[in-house]
Amino acid sequence: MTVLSARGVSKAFPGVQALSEVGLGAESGEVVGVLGVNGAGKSTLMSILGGLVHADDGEILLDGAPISPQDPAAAARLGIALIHQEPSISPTMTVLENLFATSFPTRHGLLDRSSMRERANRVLDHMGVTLDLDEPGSQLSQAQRQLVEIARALLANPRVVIFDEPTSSLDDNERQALFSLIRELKDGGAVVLYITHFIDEVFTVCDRVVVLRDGRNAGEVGTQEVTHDDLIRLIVGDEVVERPRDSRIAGETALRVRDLRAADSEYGWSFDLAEGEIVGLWGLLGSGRSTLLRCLIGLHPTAEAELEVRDATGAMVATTPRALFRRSGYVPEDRHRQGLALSLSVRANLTISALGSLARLGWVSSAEEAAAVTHAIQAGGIKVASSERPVSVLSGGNQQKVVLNRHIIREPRFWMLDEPTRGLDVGARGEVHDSIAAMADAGATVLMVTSDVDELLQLSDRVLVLSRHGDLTSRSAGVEKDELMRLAQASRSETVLASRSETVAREA
Amino acid sequence: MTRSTLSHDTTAPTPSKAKGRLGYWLVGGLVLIALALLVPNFATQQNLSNVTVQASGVGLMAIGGAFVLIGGGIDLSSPATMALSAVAGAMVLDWYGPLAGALAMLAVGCIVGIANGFAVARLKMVPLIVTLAMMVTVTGINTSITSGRSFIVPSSLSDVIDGSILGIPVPAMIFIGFTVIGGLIAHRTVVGRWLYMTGVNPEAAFSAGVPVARVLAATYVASGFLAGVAGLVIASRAGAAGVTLGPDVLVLDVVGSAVIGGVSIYGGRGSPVGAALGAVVLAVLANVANLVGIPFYTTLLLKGLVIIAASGVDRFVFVRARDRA
Repeated sequence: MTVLSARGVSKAFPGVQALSEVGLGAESGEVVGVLGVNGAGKSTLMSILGGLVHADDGEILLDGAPISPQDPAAAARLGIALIHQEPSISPTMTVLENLFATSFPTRHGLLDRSSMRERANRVLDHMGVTLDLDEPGSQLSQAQRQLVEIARALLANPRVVIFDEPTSSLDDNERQALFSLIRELKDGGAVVLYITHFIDEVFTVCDRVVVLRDGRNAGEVGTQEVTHDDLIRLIVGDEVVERPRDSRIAGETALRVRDLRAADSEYGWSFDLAEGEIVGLWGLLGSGRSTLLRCLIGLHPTAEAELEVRDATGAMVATTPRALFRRSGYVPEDRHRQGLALSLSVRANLTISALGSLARLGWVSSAEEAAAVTHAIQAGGIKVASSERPVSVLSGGNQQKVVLNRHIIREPRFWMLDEPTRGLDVGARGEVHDSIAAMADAGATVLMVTSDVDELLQLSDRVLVLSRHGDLTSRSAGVEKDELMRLAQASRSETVLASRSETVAREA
Repeated sequence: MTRSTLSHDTTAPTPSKAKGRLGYWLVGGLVLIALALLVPNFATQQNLSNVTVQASGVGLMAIGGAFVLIGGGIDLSSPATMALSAVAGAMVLDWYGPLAGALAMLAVGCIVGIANGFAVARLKMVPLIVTLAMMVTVTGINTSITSGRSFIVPSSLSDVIDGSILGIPVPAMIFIGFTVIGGLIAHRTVVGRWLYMTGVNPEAAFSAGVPVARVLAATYVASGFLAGVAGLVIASRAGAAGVTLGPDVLVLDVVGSAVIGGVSIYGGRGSPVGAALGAVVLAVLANVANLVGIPFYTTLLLKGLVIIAASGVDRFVFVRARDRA
């Protein structure tokens, strides 16, 4: 019997159509995997079911009756529990208080602690988990936080449980425990929707998978009927990505990185970047792509780093992440939080990184600044009525061009780009891509983190794939999408072998 | 983008901003004309020069406070620092003469500023607590040095600082001088531009390559230095230096001047020039109240209301800017 079904669900965010007429159905006692690359629309669809986001169009039926949960509390009352990938645990509250934070049981207006304890113990027993109920949230490991989040959802005896990437912070044993919990939920007649990037997990827990691509249904298939490779092909699609130009002939090594290791990681990364090449850095969510980039330029605590950069005479000299940062044009991942001072003018945001070269003895030259602003606005194709307008009035695409072009004035030798086209519409994406290509054509070295496979393959001359265990593998521009997926999925030993053979191949 | 739209873009004026400023000047001018017509003895040269001199002490500290506020912090310690530097200067002056005394005042201000800046920018401590504790600490040091006594500031110093040149009072000249310098630093220098970016979004400033910690530390040093200058002016005028020069309530006048002058408590907005004008507004308010015979405590009430109204406007402007983004 169909418990939950969604039909023709559409949702647009400014500049991007996240979902177009997506459908999904699940029967009682069924575990349905929801798959797709980043940006395929999985999370949006689940957020609509969980009451976090409201659909523009389409309908959702629960037991045949239409529902439209207005907020997560309403969804919970309907029996839908959404378990987030980032658990929301209050560090100062105990496990017990965190479990009931959304609905404290009371007696005569006071907290009913004995009933809280009893219910908490029952759920944790059921999950087969032991947690100290009096431990404060701040003492919990990432995995324990995830368990608290799951237990909180189960307290309400939900009929539909949605897991959003639940295993990214769990180790093997915890993963197995989660899988057996899901089987129990299934046996109890609940519907489980399971979002993941990890294809092997799909075969372990799911009965059926629904694949989304570019916000549309890309296919639906029983896990008994497909192979691992079929599924990858379904996820990434079989259209060939058109590259706008041939791969560049990379120049000499511009940067040599050996054993770059984040303070909170056990694995080190080693790779080389050449002059005039665009290197795409790609990996699944949680693989640490942004962390690698931020370590490289000293924005994330680094335990170890051996960096060498080519100096003016052509010799390789040792350098530090902070020094590399000063030579780089850095474009952060979140342009509102990390990129712009929104209330300041376009001019102030454009020239902030280059003031040193526009000033004499610390005094900014208005004429030189105006010339630089005009140059950057023209070169970047930034559309703005006046450079004195606050940068907040610009469209997302034009804001991103401001972040990108503030460095153009300095002509940096390195570009460190973190998700340079996130949230941009097709037109703005194309313009940003042209700018990035122009940087490399001018001889700069570009390292670009992106979660978008198409963008990765369109733009990169070479691809570095970061596996979920932190291994780095280099591939040439012509790499197939399904090979990328396999490298990103690979367990540690597999990638070590793969990267060894790659190194051998490159040296030969 | 075509050439014609580009030239249009870069030459277009910023109507809203310019009109807003003009409005302030108009209102200010009308109020002053009204006061001159309605309040007896207000528009005399003697009274106006008194008001400027009275505004200068608080105004100098408000200029420094404005730098700290623009960077997203707050400095509550400046009146206490002002009093300590006045006392230290008066003591040094006794032994080494007026020039050394004046330099000692500036030096003490800078030292307190460096301590505040180190705690906030390097140790990442909360500005409100650091500078509140610094206010108490500095007053404590001051009290134990002086044992509650006041030191005479001899005429060798006070005649110069509290005198006048070509009919213009020296405190007013110092005040106006630092207002201009403060405005130029905030709006025309690299450091000033870094400061606004830091105040609005420190993370973005850091990502863009701004040395955020050094910029923030510099604002506290500037505030301490200007507290030293204010100590010089205020002690010279009083002819004596003691703990009572910088009572705790004076900090409200300092922060209030900045807020009345359009400096945002939320960081990144306003100008040291505005803060200086805010100090003049408070001085005019006190002066007029005195001339019309409004009792002292009623004047305090009025002052409080004006500052509350200004911070209400600040909140309104902040929310509107935030929601537009």
